Amino acid sequence: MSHSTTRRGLLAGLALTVAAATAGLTASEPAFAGAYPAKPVTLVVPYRAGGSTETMARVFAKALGAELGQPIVVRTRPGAGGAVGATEVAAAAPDGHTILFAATASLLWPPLTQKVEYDLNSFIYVAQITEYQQAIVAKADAPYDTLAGLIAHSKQGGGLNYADQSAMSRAYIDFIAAKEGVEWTGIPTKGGGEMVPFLLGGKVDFAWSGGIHNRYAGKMKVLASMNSGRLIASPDTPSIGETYGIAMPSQAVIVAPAGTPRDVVDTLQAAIETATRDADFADLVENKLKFPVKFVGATALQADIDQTVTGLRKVVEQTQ
Amino acid sequence: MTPADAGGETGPAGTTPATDIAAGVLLAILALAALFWIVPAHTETAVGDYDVSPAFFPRLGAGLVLVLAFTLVATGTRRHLAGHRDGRPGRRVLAELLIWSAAATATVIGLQVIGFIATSALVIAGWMLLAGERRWLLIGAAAVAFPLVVDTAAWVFFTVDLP
Amino acid sequence: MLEQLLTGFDAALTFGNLAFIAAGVALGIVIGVIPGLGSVTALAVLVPVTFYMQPLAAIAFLVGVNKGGTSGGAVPAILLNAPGTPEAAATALDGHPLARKGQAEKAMKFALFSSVTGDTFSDIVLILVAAPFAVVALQFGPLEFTAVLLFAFALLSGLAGSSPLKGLTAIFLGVFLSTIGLDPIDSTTRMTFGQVQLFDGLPLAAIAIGALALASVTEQLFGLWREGETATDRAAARGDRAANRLPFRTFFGYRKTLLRSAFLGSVVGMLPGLGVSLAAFLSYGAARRASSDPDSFGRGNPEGIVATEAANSAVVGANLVPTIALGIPGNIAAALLIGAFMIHGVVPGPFMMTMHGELIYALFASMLIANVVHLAIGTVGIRLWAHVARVPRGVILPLVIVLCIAGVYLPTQSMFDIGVMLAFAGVGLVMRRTGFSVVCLVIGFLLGGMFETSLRQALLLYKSNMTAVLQSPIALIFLALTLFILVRAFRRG
Repeated sequence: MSHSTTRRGLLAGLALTVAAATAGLTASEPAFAGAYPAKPVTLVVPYRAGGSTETMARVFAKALGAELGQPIVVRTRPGAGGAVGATEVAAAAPDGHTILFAATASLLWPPLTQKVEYDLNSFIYVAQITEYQQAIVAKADAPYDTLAGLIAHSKQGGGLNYADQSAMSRAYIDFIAAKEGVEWTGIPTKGGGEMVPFLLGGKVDFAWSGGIHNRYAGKMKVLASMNSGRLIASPDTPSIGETYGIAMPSQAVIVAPAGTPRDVVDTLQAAIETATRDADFADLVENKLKFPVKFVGATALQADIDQTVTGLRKVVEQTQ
Repeated sequence: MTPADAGGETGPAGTTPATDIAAGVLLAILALAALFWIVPAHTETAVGDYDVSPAFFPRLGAGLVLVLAFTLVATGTRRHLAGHRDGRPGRRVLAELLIWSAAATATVIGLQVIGFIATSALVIAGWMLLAGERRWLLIGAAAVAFPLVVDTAAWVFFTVDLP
Repeated sequence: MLEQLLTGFDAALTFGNLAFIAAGVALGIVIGVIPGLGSVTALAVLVPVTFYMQPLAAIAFLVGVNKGGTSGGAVPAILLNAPGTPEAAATALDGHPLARKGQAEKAMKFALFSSVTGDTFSDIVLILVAAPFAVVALQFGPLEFTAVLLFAFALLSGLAGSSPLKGLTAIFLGVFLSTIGLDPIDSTTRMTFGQVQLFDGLPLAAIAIGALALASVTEQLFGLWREGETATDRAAARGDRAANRLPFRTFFGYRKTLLRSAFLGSVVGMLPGLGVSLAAFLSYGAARRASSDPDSFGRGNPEGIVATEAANSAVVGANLVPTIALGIPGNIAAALLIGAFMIHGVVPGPFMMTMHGELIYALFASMLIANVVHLAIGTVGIRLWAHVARVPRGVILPLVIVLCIAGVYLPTQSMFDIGVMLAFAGVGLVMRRTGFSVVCLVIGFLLGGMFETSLRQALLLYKSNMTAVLQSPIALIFLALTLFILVRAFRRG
């Protein structure tokens, strides 16, 4: 069994940390470049089992494994909004045998705002798989249909309440509020399951949604896309990328630890591209989870990430 | 009769006044440390507009523990002065805690260094011996077979590699 | 409705479907028996297995897993006093003493029968009220939850047992521990000491397994070390055939408790986010309050088992009420079921009834069928587990330690969680030896975090304006109930 693999990985990680801490050395060249993948690949998912990202990863792992010719072992390491799993992969041996399937929010937000043991340069972005459909939403019968309408309504008096689902979603909405000079109070909720009753029960005036609103067509409406572009389900609603030049990290990506050899990344990227065309995977993501399958290769993805980070820094500076 | 034999959670009889006083003093020290050192140093104490500060609930919890700990010391002292010596002594827990701490530390180190199967074998054999089991064949068989079964089951059913 | 349900039965009563239900229940029980693994883990790992099944078979299978997983936890609690979850701890309070009297089988029968009764009751509630409930559920906001949780605290403080002072101390210690981690409102770190692992707070599962199950196991092992096998041990292992029989009439004698507990469990289950543990303890507390002999609780009173098991199983069916009415998961288990629904093309939410009516009624039928299957498999299981009761404790308890380690590691694959579990086993050991209630510590931890979040959400929402309470009838009712309980407790001394 692959016990020895894990343990070797752990020891290698440990050795790496020690080496880096004492001498500032980087990892030596992996000995078996070219033979990738030489053993089963561990795909770390930093979220709880059963969620939509984890479900997606499990189906994707099957397709990717078939493509690479080695089984992919999905390993869930939930905690701290993805930071626990990201920390683990950042410290793993950079040989492509330990990779991470995560939302870019988990890779970008913690290093900019919290004390964590990885930074913006800890990962090589191999490929984007899909895009989360993040939005500002309101009840269907709310007296405003767009973000501009909401802002105009807010200026008529009285502060409005909104439900957020994370420090980052709160920061972005507060950024808009500060820019527009309106008073919005964020009520933190523990995810879509708590946000929906708050919104539909009229406890809050509007809410941030990570995509759950797609299940409530007719009960909720989208006021703005929080991504850089527009959402597939509401192509007529402008995004904050258009309006304010900022966007929330929205990509679901596969990353490898920094220092992974170029040819390994290329092999992986090619296999991922083919795997995203797998029929089972496409059916699950597009028809059942209602996300778009959106493959983006390493170079274009890195440029996209750089742009996201520029906006993110602006938001962090203003709100934190 | 041990409390476990009596069943229930804590057993029927109370503890001796001396044990209560000791527990109260220990809790009071911990609560004071939390209130005046740990919470201020490691928690944001600024207050938002309409919210209580993040330090409010930690302080509330620790403060109430402090008050109750003082009450415990007071009632223990009163019982002691009144000449009550009944109840279970809590002294022997110290030895047990020491043994447990050593065993737990060894288990954690073992899991990281020699892995789940070997550590589990030692855990099973060690605790069986402590519990007075002396059928060597049984101990050996359980220590070898059981970790293997658990490890295999974890891999087959959950695709989880135990450490 | 009856007609639709009959059509549902027609669709659900195929051989394949029955086989999947049976497999689900059996797997759920086996996984639930392992300390640390309950229906949540069982569902999480088995959801991917269903990817390639027919929708109805998949959902019926998972319903079976959920039911079996919830009742399986009672077995180690009764036999070994090693509850892996807070709700199983309530079962252990009376189940284990009964087992020590040589009536382990009887205790397990009480648990199983109550479980199935509570389950059936809540399934019927689900079928009848799923649709109209949506309106009531939306009335519950942070303020209302704060009031409900206050009420729960007041009711649960009565569980402190022989020493209320120590029980309360344990509760507040739990509350304090629950504040470790990122602040629920402004996300600043609180006593995390730079550990990313602590951002989400101390892991509940590790604390529960450590302080409840492992602490009890080590305490028993130390007892064996000092005193060897006692006469009670031998008697308990031998068992008494006659005393282990449970005639239907005896069981039915607890109908009042059964009904009250099933009702409480269903209500808690319908409100999203409250959870199985709360239902179990509320029901246990209520049964103890209503009893003419409250002191017999905790010493092997079957009523304690009945109250706990009927309530926690009643949560399982009722949890699907908000799921089906609103698309909101009642708890993590329901969230996982939602995930499975979606994989099979069923979008949970207000349109589920109209869009997938046939499937939903087939699901209802499967749930009712699963209860019968559960009863049958559970009865066979009891005979098997009874053999476990005959193995000397000195042999079985060390194996449980290893199971605890594996159990806490499986869902999160975290060494940190194993460390927390071992540490809290030490804390639990000391607390048990010195008369502090470990159950109170875990309840304080569980409810403390929920209470803080709800209260502070409410403060923000109403801008700290206390008069908002006056406008919420639900909050007023629960505050009045809380006051009533406290006043009565004071009067009794």
